[in-house]
Amino acid sequence: MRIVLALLKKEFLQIKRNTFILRLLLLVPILQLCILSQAINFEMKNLSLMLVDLDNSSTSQRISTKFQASRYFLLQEVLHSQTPALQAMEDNKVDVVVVIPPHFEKEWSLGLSPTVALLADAINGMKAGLASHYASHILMDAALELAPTLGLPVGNPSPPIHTTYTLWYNPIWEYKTLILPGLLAVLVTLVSGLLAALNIVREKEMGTMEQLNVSPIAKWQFILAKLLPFWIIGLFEITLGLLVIRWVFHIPLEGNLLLLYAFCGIYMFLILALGLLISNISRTQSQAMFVTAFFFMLFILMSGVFTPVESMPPWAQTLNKANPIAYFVEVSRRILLKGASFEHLKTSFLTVASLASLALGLSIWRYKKTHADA
Amino acid sequence: MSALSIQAHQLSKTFGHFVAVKDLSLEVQPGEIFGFLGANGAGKTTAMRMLCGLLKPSFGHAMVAGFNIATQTEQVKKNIGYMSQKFSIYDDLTLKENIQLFSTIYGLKSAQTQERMKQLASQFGLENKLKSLVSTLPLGWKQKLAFSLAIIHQPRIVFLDEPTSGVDPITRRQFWEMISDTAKAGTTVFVSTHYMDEAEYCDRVSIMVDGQIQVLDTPQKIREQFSAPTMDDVFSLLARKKP
Repeated sequence: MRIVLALLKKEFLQIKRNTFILRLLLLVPILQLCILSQAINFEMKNLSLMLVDLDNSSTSQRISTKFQASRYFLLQEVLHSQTPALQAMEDNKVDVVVVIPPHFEKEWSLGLSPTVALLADAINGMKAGLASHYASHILMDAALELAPTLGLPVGNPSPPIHTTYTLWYNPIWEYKTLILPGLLAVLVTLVSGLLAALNIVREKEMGTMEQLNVSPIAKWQFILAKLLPFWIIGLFEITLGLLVIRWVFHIPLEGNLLLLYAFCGIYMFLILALGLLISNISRTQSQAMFVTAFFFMLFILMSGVFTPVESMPPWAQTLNKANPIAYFVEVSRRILLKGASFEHLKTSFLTVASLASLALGLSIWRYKKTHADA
Repeated sequence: MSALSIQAHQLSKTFGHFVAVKDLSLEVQPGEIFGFLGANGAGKTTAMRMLCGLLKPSFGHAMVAGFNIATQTEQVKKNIGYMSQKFSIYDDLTLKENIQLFSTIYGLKSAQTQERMKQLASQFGLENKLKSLVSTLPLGWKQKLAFSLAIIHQPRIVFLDEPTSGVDPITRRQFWEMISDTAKAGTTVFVSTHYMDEAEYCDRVSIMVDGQIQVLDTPQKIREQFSAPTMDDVFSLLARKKP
């Protein structure tokens, strides 16, 4: 144990003296969280909308009031001709155009089904899909509400089943809420995983690794002394990230933070063991960088931070079962946004724990003090 | 068990088809300064790394400090010191921190460490530098530090891989004085070099050419055998003989 302590002291002295790493540790998480969460924004509120009212009836006006009241849309203008609205869409000034045809109220009151046109700018497919989905919901609601005022039986123009929708845990579909826990995962993984891998490879490059290998240090002492500092750094990064999420973005942290830390603790061992494996197979820091960038990029893009895992093809979802970041994203979102308990997350906990022991075992086995080749 | 410090028998190392060391056999007595001579690339480092338990031999076997280098690697490592050819001390730590780290690794108690630190610092003139970062020191000082770290735990054998390459003649001379002091204190010194003139400081030397030991004896006997005035001439003769 004295040896481990001496090695730990050495690691912390080295980290303390390396101003680059210190700055990296403090600035990267804050910058990443602030920049990415602002830049990557799929928020579905304040979609700009234009209403073309060719009917000019009290019904069409009430529909326009409905859109005005919606927090998803920003009703820019009510026009009485289609051309300027289409021009506005061409000029990227509006996301959705709703056209109420002439004689709309009259046809409706006669029991015919008049058609309302809904035009969405589908350059951003996801946005268009959601926008038209919300717009049609508002129209359905309006139809249901306005039908009696026109003396029509309820349920005539409206569909037989009336759906209500509520967005739970993230009521206004705020993307930041969803992406921040994910970014936290990316950050912790990249920073501590990469640092751990680079640290050991640096010792190889410097030749100090050989100096340790020729000493009677036990494998476990070396590995423990290498893992612990970055484990602590990882948890420190998570704390920093959580503080930013809570106090800069004002996102409530719903769940049990102890549970989150317990998960992070296990997760960090997995990431560090992977870093250790990478350092085992790399001879230079640039090699380690490249391998880390390759794998972690894959992990990150497939993790569900940016696109939902559920919409990936089945083979990709199967692949994701071995993706550490996917577990972190899922667990951190469920704990932070939903307040999920251990019972709900047991499978993820166990999977990450077994992946961690597998990776750790593999890296201990791969780390050799006596080499068979140069 | 033999009382020999090093006993190698037909030790060989191949990397693919390349034979780096071939049939290395030698015996080194306790307290001896053994010079391991050869040109760059002759296989000296590979042979040393095998003897230190850093590299697995392909064939043959060797006992170092009474332990088998293939099966008792960790016991070997406890009883030896090693100074690699490439400077390999933490240069973002101070001298003192390096000394503390390595003495703990070799199991010295803190009182022992203090004593050893004082002793080595005065012996090698490092007293004023203890609190400096290693990176701020000139190469000669770094080499002295590396050597003191290699013998911090008073090992039975110390392996020095070209400790004097790249340092000025005065430091080289000081270095050989340090080596001779260490041997007198009872540590066997196994030192490689490509400076043939340094052979004269050694009790016995071997000259390695292309992975094989060509000659092994005291410097004087070798010179007589080749009727050459200096070891440099012996080496030229050996190198020319090479097919």
